[in-house]
Amino acid sequence: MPKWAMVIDLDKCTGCGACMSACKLENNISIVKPEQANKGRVMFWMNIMQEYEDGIPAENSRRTPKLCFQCDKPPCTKVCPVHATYLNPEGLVGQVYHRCIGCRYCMAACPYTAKVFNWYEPEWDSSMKECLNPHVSLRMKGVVEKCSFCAHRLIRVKENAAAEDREIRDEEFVPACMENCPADAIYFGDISNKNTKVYKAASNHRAFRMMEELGTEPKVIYLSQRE
Amino acid sequence: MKIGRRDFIRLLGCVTGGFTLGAYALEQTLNVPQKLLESAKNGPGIVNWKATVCGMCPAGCSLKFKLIDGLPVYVKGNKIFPVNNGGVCPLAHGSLERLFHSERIFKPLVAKGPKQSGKFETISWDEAVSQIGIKLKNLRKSKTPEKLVFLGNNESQLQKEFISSFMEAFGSPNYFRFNFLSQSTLPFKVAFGRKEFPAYDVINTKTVLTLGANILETGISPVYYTKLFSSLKSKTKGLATFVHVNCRKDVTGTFANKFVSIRPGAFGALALGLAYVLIREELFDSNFLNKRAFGFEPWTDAKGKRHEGFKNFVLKNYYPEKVSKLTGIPAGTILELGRLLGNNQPAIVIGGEYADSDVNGFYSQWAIIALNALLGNIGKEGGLLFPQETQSNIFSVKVLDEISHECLKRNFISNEFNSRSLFNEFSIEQFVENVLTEKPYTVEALIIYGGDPLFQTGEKLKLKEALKKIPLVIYMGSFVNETALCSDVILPVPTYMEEWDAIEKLPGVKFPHLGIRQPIVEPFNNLKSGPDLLIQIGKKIGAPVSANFKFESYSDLVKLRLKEIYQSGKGTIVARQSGAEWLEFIGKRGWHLGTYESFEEFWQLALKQGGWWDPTAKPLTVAKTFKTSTKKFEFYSFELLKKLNELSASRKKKFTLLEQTANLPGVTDILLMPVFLHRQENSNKPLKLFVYSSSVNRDGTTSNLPMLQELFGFSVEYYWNTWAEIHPETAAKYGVENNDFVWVSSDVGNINLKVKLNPSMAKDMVAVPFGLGHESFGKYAKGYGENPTKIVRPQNDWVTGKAALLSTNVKIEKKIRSNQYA
Repeated sequence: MPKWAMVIDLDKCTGCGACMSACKLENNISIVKPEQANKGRVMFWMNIMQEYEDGIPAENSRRTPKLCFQCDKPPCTKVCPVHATYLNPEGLVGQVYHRCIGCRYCMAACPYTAKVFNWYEPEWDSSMKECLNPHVSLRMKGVVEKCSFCAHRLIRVKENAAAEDREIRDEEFVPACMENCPADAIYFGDISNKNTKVYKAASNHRAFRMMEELGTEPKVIYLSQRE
Repeated sequence: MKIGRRDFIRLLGCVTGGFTLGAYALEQTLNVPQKLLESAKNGPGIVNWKATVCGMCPAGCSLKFKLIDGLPVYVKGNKIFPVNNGGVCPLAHGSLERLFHSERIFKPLVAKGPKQSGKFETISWDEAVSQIGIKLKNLRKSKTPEKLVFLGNNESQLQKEFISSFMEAFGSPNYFRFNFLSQSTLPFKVAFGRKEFPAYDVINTKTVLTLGANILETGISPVYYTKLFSSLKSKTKGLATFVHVNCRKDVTGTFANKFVSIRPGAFGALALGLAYVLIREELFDSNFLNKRAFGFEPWTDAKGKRHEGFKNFVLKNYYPEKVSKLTGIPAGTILELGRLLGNNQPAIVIGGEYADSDVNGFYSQWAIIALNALLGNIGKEGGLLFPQETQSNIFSVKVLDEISHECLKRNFISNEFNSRSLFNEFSIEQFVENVLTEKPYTVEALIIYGGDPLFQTGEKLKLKEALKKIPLVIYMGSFVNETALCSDVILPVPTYMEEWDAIEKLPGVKFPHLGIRQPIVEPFNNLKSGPDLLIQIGKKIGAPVSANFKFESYSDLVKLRLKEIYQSGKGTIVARQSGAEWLEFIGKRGWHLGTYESFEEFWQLALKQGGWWDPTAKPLTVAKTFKTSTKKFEFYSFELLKKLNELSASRKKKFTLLEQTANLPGVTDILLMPVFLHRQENSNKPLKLFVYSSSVNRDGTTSNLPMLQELFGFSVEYYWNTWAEIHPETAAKYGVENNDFVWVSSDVGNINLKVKLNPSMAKDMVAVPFGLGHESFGKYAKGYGENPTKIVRPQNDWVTGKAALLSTNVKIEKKIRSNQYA
């Protein structure tokens, strides 16, 4: 059974935002009204945090891409009263929109604030509806959504592999953010397989997980020379 | 027919896809052709990919669009194209919003009522083209074709040549281009004798120092350089050190090993300070300087006058303590950077748009280029390289008549009344001045092709007045923006996703290459591209303009250019990366790279893969690099001397005043060597305004795309709006806190902005992002944010005439009300 994981090399990442725009385009993430966006209701599955940490020189400030960490021990799934969010056997934390009742317990439980809530029905400019991705369903008002590691792509990749009676190749299944990164800072793949690039990247001495002490066991691993 | 398991699965997938499309995406709207909708509704859901070249900025990345039954739904980078190798920036993802935008225009519009009243009515294409044709023909009849001006924007090389040939045949020398925050090539002309950007061979170098060059975000080709730098970080023997110096930490600063903040306008001083370290510690390449450089050591001219030379000039005047005061960078850091460059060679110093966009920009850039000469890295691996010149012969035969020949000598910008710059370069401000003063002559017709100069320039009111004065202003674009609203005729053109073009000779790229831009969908409403419209207008004008178009449409020209490349036998169609390395290997051994049965095969493959490149072409050697009068790198410019000597007495006086801004009494040859010129400061307005652009909105032309509007402020979590970045210490000095509102005021106006504290920037400076603050340009752009060019004091670079966007002094005043959500 594969275990899907991502490695983000912060020493390579420039924080340009190409992952954010690729994610919005691929996953039909709706654009909220400007005043709502500034009330904290803006929706990004992939976000970039600008950090100015105390104690380090200002010049060392950095930008860190942040998405759902697909934890192996996810706090969000434990609090969901309707089993709308769950951990699947391949390590993906699923989010079933038509089960979600919008209680937002999962959002409160997530220590990484990776989930976002649909405060409104998604609105699209009439003609821009044409460019929505037909492989990803739109979310309705009142449900929580988050990064899926582009799981809809996995379905197709699996179909192709099964049809050809073979295993999924390394980097055959890639999320949109990785596909578009101009700095090649994102690695993605089956971390249970020692031959994959993501496994090798995660074994690097620079690897760390965000807020590891919480014991959530995130499957998004960062690489950085800095502390 | 047997349906296998795989076919069945594929069919099933398509049915689901089709259903979702039916539910959400297929409402019939005005903009999408019925044919396309029908195929998407009823088609089998077949996925196809089409390669084209991005047109959101001029960097020339190749993209792959995902089409489901002909309907584009997703875009990613083209992995096999050597410029961007699969990478893209956020702009590319805004493409589909641009294509399907509900505010696109599809019919020619003609202004109604008095000029600039903002009211338009539609007219037919025939009427529009013939009316324009008649008016332009009359200009030729009255033997004044020079009164037509063409103002371009981001045209490709082929389009530039095409438009030039159109204008030449017409008889007008007035084809100019206006780009926001672009870098001038004049410093390279003075130093190398070449008016072009070199390629920086970062892949083979050890140390890179960027001065005001945000090369990984908004520079000449950001994705190309991001890929190069990123691949270096993957290698164990990669780049040793990458230091970025700018006024605020940007994307390049995030990536670099070290970031140093500097006062705006002080890049030239830093470059000369670093030159001091290299010279004092003898870390320069004396072999190169002896053989290939002029003006480094003291020398005597033909008249027996002794000149001090660059070496002594720098040693006397730019010691680190002095430079430290000018730049705000500690003297220790200047020493450290100088030694880093000198001791870790090959090293490259790259100057960029933020060093350039100032009143002293030309001299700053020249000083930065001079550092490279000191390091002796010109024309060498790991240094500054000039790619081989590839000449196209498509436009070599021109049909011109007597009127054309006669009138081509009457340039609108280079004339004795020119007062803005030494080199008579085009600047929008100079253009405005000439139009308003009617010197050297009136402008009767102006064609503006894309862009939005009225939004981008600091001299908005004057430009508006100038546009009012010109009897016929034609705007060719896909949307109605500020500039379009001030024109008399708007001719809609398709977006880049519906056009043909050949994109080559991208500045900064090391190897010859060509990307094909092909329509990923048929042009909506059968729109004609800009060049195709010119062909139609040219036919109405008649000979000699029409005689130059031996092809039916611009797409034929693109094919013609490809045929030229095919016939040259050089290079190959882009292929997978590993393959490309192998091709380079055999190419070096003199083998032909690509073998194709016919041109048609070559053409089809180029369309499929995205383009052509020649990995084996070697850049120019150092001996062939210099085209100056001395055939050497010039620390002392004879070209500048010639220009200065040609000046009339009154203009000479102005440049004598300029000498004084160097603050170096008693020193000779001041304006003929790289020098630091002080900007004029204003004690009432102690802060410096730093206008910058970001990866999601380079020049304000993507402000009508909602996704990019939302992304605009992601780094400060302030969306759809403009903010003012201030250093925490500066903010404390003025009693301002994070999220307070302040008035930022200059001599020409003020804007109200929210404060975002940023410790990674220079003190005594206010940084404001450019892009928002449109007064028109549709519902997603109008009324969001502020335009910082509104408060930019109109000034120009003293030599190049380029707008000095970063030379404004401002003050801040706290607005009483503070509202977090406003």
